[in-house]
Amino acid sequence: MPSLSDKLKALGVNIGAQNLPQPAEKLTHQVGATKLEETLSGHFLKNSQGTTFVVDTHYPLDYHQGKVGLLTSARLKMLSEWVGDQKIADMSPESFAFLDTETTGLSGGTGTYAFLIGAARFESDEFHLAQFFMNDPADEPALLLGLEEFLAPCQSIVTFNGKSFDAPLINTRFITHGWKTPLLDMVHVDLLHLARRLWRGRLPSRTLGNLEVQILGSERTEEDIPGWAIPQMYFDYIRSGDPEPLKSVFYHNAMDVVSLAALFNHTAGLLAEPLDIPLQHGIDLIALARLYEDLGELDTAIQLYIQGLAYEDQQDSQIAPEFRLSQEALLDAIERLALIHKRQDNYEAAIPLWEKAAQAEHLGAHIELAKFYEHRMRNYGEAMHWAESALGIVNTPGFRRSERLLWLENLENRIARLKRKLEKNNQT
Amino acid sequence: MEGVAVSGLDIAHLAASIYDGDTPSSYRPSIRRKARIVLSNPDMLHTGILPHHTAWAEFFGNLRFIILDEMHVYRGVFGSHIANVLRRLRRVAHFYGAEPQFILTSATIANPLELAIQLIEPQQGIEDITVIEQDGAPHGEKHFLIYNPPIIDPGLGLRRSAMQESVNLASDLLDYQVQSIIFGRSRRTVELLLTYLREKASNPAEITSQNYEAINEDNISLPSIRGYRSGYLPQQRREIERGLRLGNVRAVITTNALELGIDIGEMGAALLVGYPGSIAATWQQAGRAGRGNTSALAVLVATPDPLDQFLAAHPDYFFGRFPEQALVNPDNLLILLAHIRCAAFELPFLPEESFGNLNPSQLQEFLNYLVDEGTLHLSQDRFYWMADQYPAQQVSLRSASTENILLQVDNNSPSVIGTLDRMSALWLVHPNAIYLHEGQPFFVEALDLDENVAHLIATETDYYTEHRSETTVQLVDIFNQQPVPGGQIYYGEINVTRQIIGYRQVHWHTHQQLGLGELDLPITELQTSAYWLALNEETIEILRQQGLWSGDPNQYGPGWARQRDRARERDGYRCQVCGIPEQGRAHDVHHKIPFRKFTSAEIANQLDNLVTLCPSCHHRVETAVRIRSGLAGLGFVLGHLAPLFLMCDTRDLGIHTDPQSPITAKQPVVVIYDQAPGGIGLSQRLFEIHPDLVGSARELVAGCGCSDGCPSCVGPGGENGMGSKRETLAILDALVAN
Repeated sequence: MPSLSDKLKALGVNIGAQNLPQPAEKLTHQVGATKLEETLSGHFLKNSQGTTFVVDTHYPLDYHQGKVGLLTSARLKMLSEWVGDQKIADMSPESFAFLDTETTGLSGGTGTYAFLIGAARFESDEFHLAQFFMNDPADEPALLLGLEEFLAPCQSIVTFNGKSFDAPLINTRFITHGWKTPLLDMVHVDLLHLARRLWRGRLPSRTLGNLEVQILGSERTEEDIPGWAIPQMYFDYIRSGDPEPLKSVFYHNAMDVVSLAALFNHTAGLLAEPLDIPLQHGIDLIALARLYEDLGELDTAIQLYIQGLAYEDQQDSQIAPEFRLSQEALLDAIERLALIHKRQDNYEAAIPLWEKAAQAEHLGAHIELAKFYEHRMRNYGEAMHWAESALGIVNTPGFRRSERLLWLENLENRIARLKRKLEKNNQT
Repeated sequence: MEGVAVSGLDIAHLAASIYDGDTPSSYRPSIRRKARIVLSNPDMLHTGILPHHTAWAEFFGNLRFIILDEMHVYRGVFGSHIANVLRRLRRVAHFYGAEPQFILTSATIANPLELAIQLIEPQQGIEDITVIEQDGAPHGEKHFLIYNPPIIDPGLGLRRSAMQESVNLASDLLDYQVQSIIFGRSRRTVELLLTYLREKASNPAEITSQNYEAINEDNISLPSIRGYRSGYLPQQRREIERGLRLGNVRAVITTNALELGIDIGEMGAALLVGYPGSIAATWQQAGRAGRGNTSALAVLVATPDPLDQFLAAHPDYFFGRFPEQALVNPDNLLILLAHIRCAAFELPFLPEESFGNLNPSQLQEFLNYLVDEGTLHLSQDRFYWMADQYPAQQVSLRSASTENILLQVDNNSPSVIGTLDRMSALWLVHPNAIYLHEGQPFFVEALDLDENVAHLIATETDYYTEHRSETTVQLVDIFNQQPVPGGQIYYGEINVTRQIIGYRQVHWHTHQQLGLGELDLPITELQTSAYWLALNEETIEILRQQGLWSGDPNQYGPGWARQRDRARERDGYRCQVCGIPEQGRAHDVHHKIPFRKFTSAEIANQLDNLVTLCPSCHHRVETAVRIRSGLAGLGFVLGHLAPLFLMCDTRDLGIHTDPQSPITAKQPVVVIYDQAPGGIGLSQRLFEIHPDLVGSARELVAGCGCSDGCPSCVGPGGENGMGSKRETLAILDALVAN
């Protein structure tokens, strides 16, 4: 009777055991457990679901990741506006849990495990990081219970890309054991989205690792490993029982969680006192201005736009190229600021901005000026001047074809109307 | 496929949602939370829902009904996959504490109960399934006509073109103001029919006094004749559907895209250009005609295909015989292994767990294999998925093969137009092949078997290619055998070794050979299940005797005597097979390629085509040629009739004939095997229905109007292009003799 393996081989299935590196020597459970404790300076935690392995690390409250501290004293009002949950505004630092997972894959789904969950919270005189490790898949219930108990004093989780990755994954793990997931009752602050808003313009990559370098000014040691290599290191451990290579995975995870806290502190500060942060580039000020504009804080937004645009007016040589706004972004900022002024009926402030943008052939500015002279000043000659120059822009060969027809119709109507008004004025 | 989770059956208040690949991802979370009835498809269930079942925890916990509409489409490789997707679905539902009830609907097939049992595997088997066969819908009178175009060349068995005859019929329907739906078998046929019908409808010469007024009054214009198939834009299709409901589209020409599901109202007539491939599909297409209680017309226009011709001669197959069996093999090793991977990803396997038919110890064998492979990890009797993979993504529900070749078009920007399994790729997209996709010919520039990509460029050619291959068949195991009249039949496992050695370029219209090419492609092996039929000595003896009547030696043209002597002289007056010299009687001189294949005696009698043989060797050679072509004809007719019983495509079956087969002690054999590796039950069923198969084959060949074989019965010709009808019929007579 041929074995299943032989039958499958006859059917052309070539992937199989032969490709698999076999461990030199599989450690016995007891020896493995002791070695794990020694290598990673952790301990086994017993609870009603079994045993999970935990590594605790304690950081002093004044610990700095790079040049940024962990503990924030900023007012969290604006952050709560951004998150859309008022509860955040009144939370103390002890309410936040910082969370990051290392998993057996990136594809998600019920077959992906979070084998290492790093969670950290502020306690009375320290920042406490607990890394829960799944020494064996059978230990998952104990790991999840350990995590749930650690999170119990907190009301909010802070993650980086956790809304689409870490949280659904952790929820899935709880559900596969028939349990309610503790994350549902917590407010979720995902710093990835905020980081995108704040640094999209100038940082080509907004990964946590890159923000660490660019924003926090922190560097990792050689012990770190790239994220893509992590699943395989766990599979190797499961087969061989050798914990030595896992040290770099624990280091990677610890850095992620500590950086998360520092980034939270930094962004909370930016949102709370946007005008008082020293050493800000124009590009960052404009990004903050847009954020404030979206949150309806128009007075702060105006000041941020003005500061940001003033920064851009400096001599070229004073700004490094990567911190300079693109022409398109600059015109967009001018137009946004002018529109806020217009909505507040402050044409005095809006006109010079439009004129500045009009010089750079900005269509919106030409049209706004045409509207202003037609409807506010009833100066149809001047309005005609701007309407015709707008038409000229639409008719330049490089103009987007998809929009041209729309604008042509709009402008031709405007010009026809202005003509009638001019003729009527001449008759009277 | 639908899942229904309800607490009471108050249908009016149930939220129903479509959840498929087109559902915007922003709607999905809310559907998962709120929908009580979900309409989806097998692919979404397989790759989207089951691997993420925790997102559906509440839905699964309350799942009461699973409705499989049109279950007869779940057959063959696809159906074997679906049976396993349903095993996974039941497993996940069970995890959440639900034991849903299945409701299945089917077109009329021979084995609905058997198919349902295989798809949903109820614990009590038959006891758990109730079959409802009554049809309560009102019906008007329906006329079902089978139209076989008249023979125009009796010698070649050539009939008038089914396409042109259909255009004439469709044009008549238009003239009589009957709103019609016309089904073509391919997208290419649809486009051709559309062109011809529009030409005919707009040609004033065609307007007779009878229809003149009708045309003017109704203002029949070209847009009232529309084509409809996949590849048309969605808004265009919606517009045509609306036009059909409103009645301003008078004729629509379509593929099976309009066979099911889409609401187009009811047509006055349905015209089927060629047998759609199954009786179930025939009835579904014909069913598009019929308006409540008024009478309707359906016409099937037969093509020269053997199955069309057989059914044209035996219309009773459409009315009450229902020979079609929908077959699946959920336990095909490759398909099963693929879904055990997916299931292990979804939930760890527990000790003593079973999977469908597989008892715990059989399942254990698979799980241990996956542990050895490194994708599963065994801890405390549970098998955990431990791999950075999403297995459902790697399993196509439409293929049993593990490796697929991408068809990449390199014209302007590279785009992928489809995939083929590796085995089919070798003969469909070998280098220099012409590959047809949606009627568009592509030239194959290269077949990269390391990267699994075929590089194609769109082209316009006047030829197609036919691969030339060498096939050998080896016996692996015999599962069952049985003596039958004329021989012995077997069911078992074989190993088919095939190499594509070259190709022919053939002109589209004249079928003339334009060129030949050599290929150096790897040998492929297919292990699969097969049915084979070995002829016994008595049958061979009958053929030998009939072989004696062959050929008149005096009809070989002027100069034959001289040419024969030159051949004997060249061969040293010795038989070129056994070496025996002439003794008192001149040896025979044999035409290697038969004399009647040539139009000129001079060319037929060239020395290259002649060989000297002793009378006994000559007799054997002639007999071998006859048996070989008789077997080839038998293989052709059996292979083309089998789909009538198996609801499969001719391409799902491989056919191999050998006058001296190593798998049957050198007896002549016809082997029909499953093309899917490991088999999906087609050949096993052929073994069971052998008497029906050869019986209908004999009826077809005996009843065919051609004189010496044609594409409608035994194929266009045997090995050397000679007709083989007489030989095939002689074998069939022996096989059905009592």
